This record gives sequence, structure tokens and C-alpha cells, in this order.
Amino acid sequence: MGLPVSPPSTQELEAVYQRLLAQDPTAPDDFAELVLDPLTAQLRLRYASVPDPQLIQDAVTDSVLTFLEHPKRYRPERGSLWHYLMMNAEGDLRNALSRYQREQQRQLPLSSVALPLSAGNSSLEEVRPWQEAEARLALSAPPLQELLQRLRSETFTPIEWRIVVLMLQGERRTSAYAAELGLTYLSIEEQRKQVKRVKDRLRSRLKRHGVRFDEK
Amino acid sequence: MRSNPSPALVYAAQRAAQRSFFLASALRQYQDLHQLDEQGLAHDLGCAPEDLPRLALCRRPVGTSATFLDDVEQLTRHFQLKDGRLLALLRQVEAMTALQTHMARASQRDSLLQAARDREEEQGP
Repeated sequence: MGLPVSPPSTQELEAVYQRLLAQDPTAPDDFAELVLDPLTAQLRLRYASVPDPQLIQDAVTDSVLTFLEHPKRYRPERGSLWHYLMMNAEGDLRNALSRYQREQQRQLPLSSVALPLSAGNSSLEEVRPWQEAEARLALSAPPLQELLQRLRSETFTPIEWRIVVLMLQGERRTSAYAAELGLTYLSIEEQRKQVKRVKDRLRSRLKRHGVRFDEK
Repeated sequence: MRSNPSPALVYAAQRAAQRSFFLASALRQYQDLHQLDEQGLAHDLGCAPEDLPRLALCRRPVGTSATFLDDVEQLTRHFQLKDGRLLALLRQVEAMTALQTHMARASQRDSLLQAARDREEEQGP
């Protein structure tokens, strides 16, 4: 998008800033119009790899609005007004990025550990699919293991946990879920409905616990 | 009057509605009060809908300020609004805010009185 990258001239900025200080009611609009696009463009150049461009727009917008509310916080002896605005916007962006990264870490994509079931163990009746899947999950990265352990002990009943494990494993056969849920006496169609209902509910609960579940 | 506002300006005007410093907050309250969309608001004020984001980003004149009428007059002229419309809007919004504050306080006082009565009843004669 073609935003004006160059900052406004010092004279332009200074003139509107003086109107802000004089409490001219139309000055905030003029000031915002002068700086919003160039600030956004410059931050986009500096932070080209920001995962979500909206973070930049929010940081610039909020920092400019806050400045308009408190223009006297700027101290000319400490540097140019443009530099001050950039510093403010950049500070807000860094804070937003930290929050974003924390949020992303909290939302672990559990599907990343889903491994295909091995074909060789199907004859061993004592090793059920969910047990094999759980053994594989134990090999996942420590933060994920920690989260899974917490979910297992605090959130899900043993049966629900088996279903979650099967879902993580990418198990798609209704019969596998129906067996764990004790629904094999129902018709295939009814099993499908009941299994879907249970899986949808578990998916919602996982989401509430900050788990992004990208089922294959 | 001027060219269409940039998307950044429109977005800033939306976010400014959460901040009482900006006229955007009063415009939003008025819209909520009368259930108006942007067209309706622009019609009431006598301006083009494209002018609303710029108007919203102006400083909100405060009724108790000595410059209140001058500020309203300046905004009216600058945005070529219909005479008296912005003043009426601000007066309505201020009256509504005052009423809401009064009712909230009255409700809080009633709750406190009720709690005091309940406590007296529990303690008995």
C-alpha cells in the first residue's frame, strides 16, 4: 500500500503542535492526519517481519491518540517531535509484540505432535490405540508435555482424555472413538452423531484452555 | 469539504470513541442514544458522512469550560455544520451522562440502604 513514508516537515509539525498546546479544538484532527500514515509506514519498514500488521496500526493509532490527549508530555529539549512520536509508537509496538508472543506461546498447536498410528501393533489387543498415542505424546517437547499433563489431571475425565489423545493422534475412524465411549451397541449413523458431538465439545473445551486444535 | 479521510484516520476515529477527550466519544453516545448510523448522524449535524472521522478526532468541547461556546462555534464553522446542531448534540449527551451518573449513584445508595436494613434486621431489636 502506498503510504507516505517521509515524515512531515518540522515546520508543519511544529505549527500544528502549537495549535494543540493552544487547545484549538480542530488541531487533534489535523495532527492525526499529518502523522498517522508516515508513522505507520516507517514502523512497517522497521518491523517488516511483524506477524500481524494490525499490531503496527494499533500501536501507531493508540500512541498518537494518547499524545493528542497529553501534548505537554513532549519535552522539546530532549529531541525532535517526530522522534518522540516514533519512540512512543515503537514502545507501544514492542509491548504489543511481547503480549502477542506470550499469547502465541500459550496457545500451543497440539496438532503439531500428532503422529500417524503405526500399522504394526493392531494385532496386539492389549495395546489400544489411545495408549499407543499417549506414549507418543510423551515424546513431545517439555512445555507441551506440561500442558498435556495439566489438562489430563485437571480438566478431563479419563474417558474424555482418551478421546482427546485419539484426536491429537489424528484418528479419524468413528469406530475407534465409539469403542472408547462404549457406543458400539448403537447404529453406525448414531455412533457418528454421538462421536461428533463429543469431539466438538472437547474441541471447545481445549480452546477455552488456550489450546489451538488444528485437526487434520 | 476536503478529500476522503485515509483508512488510518477512519480507524483512529473509531478508537477515539473510547476516549472522552475526543468528540468521537460524544458522537458515539449520541448515535447510541438515537440509534443512528453514520448517515443519520451526518444528516443531523448537516455534514457529509466523509467528514465525520475528522470531526470525531477533534477535541470535545467541555460544557464547564470557559471556551465551550467558542469551541463549538469554531467546530461548526470549520466543518460547515448546521447552526446549533453540534451544540444541541453536546447538550443532549451531557444531560444524558449526568442523568446516568445520577441514577447509578441513586441505585448504589439504595443498595447500601437495603444492606444496612438487612443488617439491622439480622441483628434484631
